[in-house]
Formats: sequence, C-alpha cells, structure tokens
Amino acid sequence: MAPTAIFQIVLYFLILLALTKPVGLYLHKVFMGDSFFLSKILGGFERMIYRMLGVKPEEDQNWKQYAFSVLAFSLVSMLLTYGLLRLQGVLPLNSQGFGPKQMPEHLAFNAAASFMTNTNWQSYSPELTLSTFSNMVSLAIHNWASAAVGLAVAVALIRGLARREMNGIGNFWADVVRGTLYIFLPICIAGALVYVASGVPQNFSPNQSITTVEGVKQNIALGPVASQEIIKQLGTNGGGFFNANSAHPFENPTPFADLFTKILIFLIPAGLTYMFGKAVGNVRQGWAIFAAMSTLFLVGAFVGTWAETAGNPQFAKLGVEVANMEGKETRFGIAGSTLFASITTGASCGAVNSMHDSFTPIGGLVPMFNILSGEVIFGGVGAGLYGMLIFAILSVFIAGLMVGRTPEYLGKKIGRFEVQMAMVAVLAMAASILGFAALASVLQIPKEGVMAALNTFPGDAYGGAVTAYGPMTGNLNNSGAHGFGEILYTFASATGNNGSAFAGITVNTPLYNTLIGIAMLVGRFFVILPVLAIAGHMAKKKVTPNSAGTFPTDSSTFAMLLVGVVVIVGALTFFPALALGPVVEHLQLSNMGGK
Amino acid sequence: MNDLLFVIITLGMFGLLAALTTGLHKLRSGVGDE
Repeated sequence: MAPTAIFQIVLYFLILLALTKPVGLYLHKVFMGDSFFLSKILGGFERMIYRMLGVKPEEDQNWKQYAFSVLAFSLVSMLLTYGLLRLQGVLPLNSQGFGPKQMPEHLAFNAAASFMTNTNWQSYSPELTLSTFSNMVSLAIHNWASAAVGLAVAVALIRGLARREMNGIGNFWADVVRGTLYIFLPICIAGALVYVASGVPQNFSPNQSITTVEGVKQNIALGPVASQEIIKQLGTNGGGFFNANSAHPFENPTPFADLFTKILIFLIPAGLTYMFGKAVGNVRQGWAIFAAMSTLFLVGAFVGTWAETAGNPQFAKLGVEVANMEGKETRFGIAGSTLFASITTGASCGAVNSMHDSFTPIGGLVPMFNILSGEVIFGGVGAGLYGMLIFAILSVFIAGLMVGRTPEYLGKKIGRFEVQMAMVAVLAMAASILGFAALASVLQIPKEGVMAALNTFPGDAYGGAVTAYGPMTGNLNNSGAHGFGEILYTFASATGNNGSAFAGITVNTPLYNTLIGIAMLVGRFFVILPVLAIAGHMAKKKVTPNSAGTFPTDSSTFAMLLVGVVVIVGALTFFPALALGPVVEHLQLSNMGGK
Repeated sequence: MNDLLFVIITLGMFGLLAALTTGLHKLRSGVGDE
C-alpha cells in the first residue's frame, strides 16, 4: 500500500477526530435548550414557525406521540413528493420539457420513498428525467427533511437514555425545526459557497450544447448543483445532480472538494457521539461509541485500499499494472476512491466517486459489509448513532448473559422489552435484505400478463418500452457470483437507506422500483419505531448506582465488545449470502486457470 | 389509475407502521418488563 494512501486515510481521520468535540458541543446546545449565538439571532424566526405550525415546543411527547408525528410527517411529505414528481410537466422551472413520461408511476413511487427515507437511491438518470423544479423542490426538500427526521430520532433516543423517571422524549416538531434552522441551514449556506469556490456550478441555465474537440455534439447539464451537493453530503443523502454523482467534475471538481465532501459526510454523525456522552453526563460514554465506530471504519478503509492496490491477480500473471483502476477516476486514484467508498457506505450517504461494481471482490465486500452491518460506522445523520446504540444494548445484554448479571446501560436495567425491540430492528433489516434478494434471484417473469407488465422497461430518450421476461436475473449485466453480489448490494443499499449502487443491474422497471421502494420504507421505519419505543421506555427508568459488578460501558473493553457484536451479528446474518457473492468470486478470481 | 395503486401501496405501508406502533406499545406490559 502506497504511503500516500496511508497518509490520506490517517489525515482524514485526524481531521474528523478534531471536529468531533466542537460539533458535538454545538449539537448539544441546539437540542438541549441552551442559549447560543445563533439562537439569539434566529430565535424570533424559530418562534414564528412554531406559531404558524401551532406547535408548543416545550410540550414533551411520549414515545408513541413522537412516533406518530414521525409517521404523519413522512407520509404527507412522501405523498406530496409523489404528486409533484408526476406533475413536473405542468410545474415551473422546466426548461428541459420533462413530463410524466420521464417520471412514470412506479418511478415516482420509488423516488418519493427514496428521498423521504434519506436513501436517495436513484433508479433514474437525473439529467434525463428531472426538471429543475423536481430537483430543487420536490426532491431537495427531503434532503433537508429526512436528515432532520433522522437527527430528531437520535436526539429523542439520547434524551430517553439521559432522562430519569420521565414520560416524554422531546417534541418532534421542535427537534426538526431546530435541526434544520440551526444545523443544516448555516452549514449549507457556508458549505455551498465553498463548493462554488471550488468550481461547482450554481445557476438556472438550461442544458448547454457544445461541440467537443473531436467534433462530437455533447449536451452538458447545468443547474443549481452546489446547493444540492452540500445537503447531499451533510445530510448523508447521496442523491446527486448528475448520474455520475461525485465522480462528475461538476459535483466534485478538485482534491480539496473531495476531502471537503468526505468530511461533511461524517461531520454530524461523529459529533453526535460526543453530544450523546455529554447528554448522559459522561463524555467517555460517547468516546467509547466513537472508538468502536472508528475501529470498524479504519479496518474497512485499509482492507479496501489494500485489495484495490493489490488488484486483479490475473493481471499480475500477465505482467501488467496490477492496481485496479477500472471504474475509478484517475483524479482521485485508489485511496481517494476506496476511502470515499468506506465513508459513503459507513454512513448511509450513498454518494459515490467511483463505481463500486468495478472493485475487486474483497474491495467490493468492504462497502457491502459496511451497509450490511446496519450502517453504524458513524452512519447516517442520526441513523448511525441510534443504530449503534441498539448494538450497545445488545452488547450489554450479551455481556450480562456471560457473567450472569442483569444487563445495565448507563445505570438503567435493560429489560425484556428493550432487547425485543433491538431484535425487531436487527431482524427486520435482515429479513428485508435477504428476502428481497432471494426473490429477485429466483423469480421467473412470464412473457405476458401482470408480471410481464411489471417488468417492462419504460421508454426513454433512447427508445421505446421493452418487456424483459424469463428469470428476473435477466436484468443483470453479470452472471454468477458477481451478479448475485449486485442483487444483494441493491437490496442492502435500499434497506440500509444508503442509496449507492453496485450498478450492473437494470432497476428502472416497475417491479424493481416497487420492491426497492418497499425495502426502503421497511429499512427506515422498522428501525425508527423500535428505537423510539426503547427511548420512551428507558426515559421512565430509575438509575441505580454503579456497583462492583457493573460492566463499565465507557471503557475500551466495551468499545471492542461493541465492535465484536456488530461484526458477529453481521457475519452470522449475512455470511451465507456473502459466501455466494464476493467470497466465492474472490476464490474464483484467485484460482482462475489454475496456479 | 396506476397512480391510485401506488398511493394505496403507500397508505398501506404507513397503515402497517401505525399498527406496528400500537402493537409495540402493547408489548410494554410483558412479564418481566421493569
């Protein structure tokens, strides 16, 4: 592994480490009701929003009221987006002339579910499908709202763990408003200007037609890219303005922009670990979670970089350049791509600056494992912390079983209910990923009838509608182990609300769009609801003083136990599927043509 | 027509989630739950 690769990973981690405490302190001020400089400036505006919404921010909700608020907000915003996307033809800011033909029903359902759940899976090619209005209003609003919802749920869980003998876990509406107003808005305004200074476009120009030096006509899409880019990364959304996402020079023009992007993705998730520690009255609790996340992240980043540097063993036999540069931008190189892949899949971001499908089997296994582990390696905004705290509860439960004591976390006894809820979240994820991947692997599509209609590719700029029949795996570009890996990655990405694609699979069909849309909803809410239930239940509990038999959860031992539980739960659940995909692919590649 | 189908799928999913919330709430009275 090149020293520059090691330097890139270490430098990135040190910057993240330095930012964790200041960001965490700021998050704590925003959500725990402290007064700070921005609340003095924008406090009047915040109170005006509450008056308009009829919200009393000081009124705490119990977990059930909080959960119904999350569901109501999400349902209304999803249906609104569905309608706006279908009506883009008659809405303003449509210099491209796109209408419902570019956005059929199943695609609008998929896109609405995708953006509302913070997944930002894009079955479509944005520059060939979305009007500027659809980009800036219908979808971009979710970049903010879905991130704010994730943050709110994490804050509710932190309150649940920190509070003693209380019924409420905060007010959902106030949490969403504060997150948007005091966290996303100021960082996005400043960050968008940084992107513009780096060369990212921000305008309302229609597409420009130019002639290349080779004499070919090329259509270049322009628009409000910088404002989309900043919230795409900060909110761990990942949906790009261009199909090539962060590999596109207009989204990610310079090495500085690339580093800035990577920092934005982990900024809030890392800060949340410190905020958690401060809120529960012991910052070491937060650092233990940070240490577990960092260990998983660094191991993945180094393994991925090593695998891509080692490249394809068959190339080495031929005496040619071995490092695997297929599907990577030469501007970013190996480490710039593998580090980005580890970050975007550790978080539930899904932005990409290289094609994960072109990684070596082990290099591709890293992002896949990051997603399958529940995206708790810093994770999505809010989603990463609440996912990791579920694993923390499972860890103290397992540790309690090993030593024969009642499990405790933060001085509160972990009862049957908390463990049941933690298992609902873990099992729902696994059932969705493995169930849908199995279905897509074996389903046969007939030539005619409802199922055939469900697997018809819509007509687009390149041609008319085509029905794909036969095995559903006919949508794959690759057969065998790699093809299975593509299916597994697709449903892992959807259920994990990541949104990055392994590519190599055509998913813009009614059947895939619908199944992926449902997987995204399951992955989002079958975790959020148990998390809120745990929060509500923990808030009511008494705190018992530590005794000699208390397992300390602010230690390096606990951090390593947490890493072990994440890896073991992930491995036990997904190893059989991974063995059929990247593991067997690696063995095939190594042994191809004999020794 | 298909628009209605996808609105129904969406409402159905959220109906299921609302039912789950109520269901989880009932689990709270489980034995051994402190």
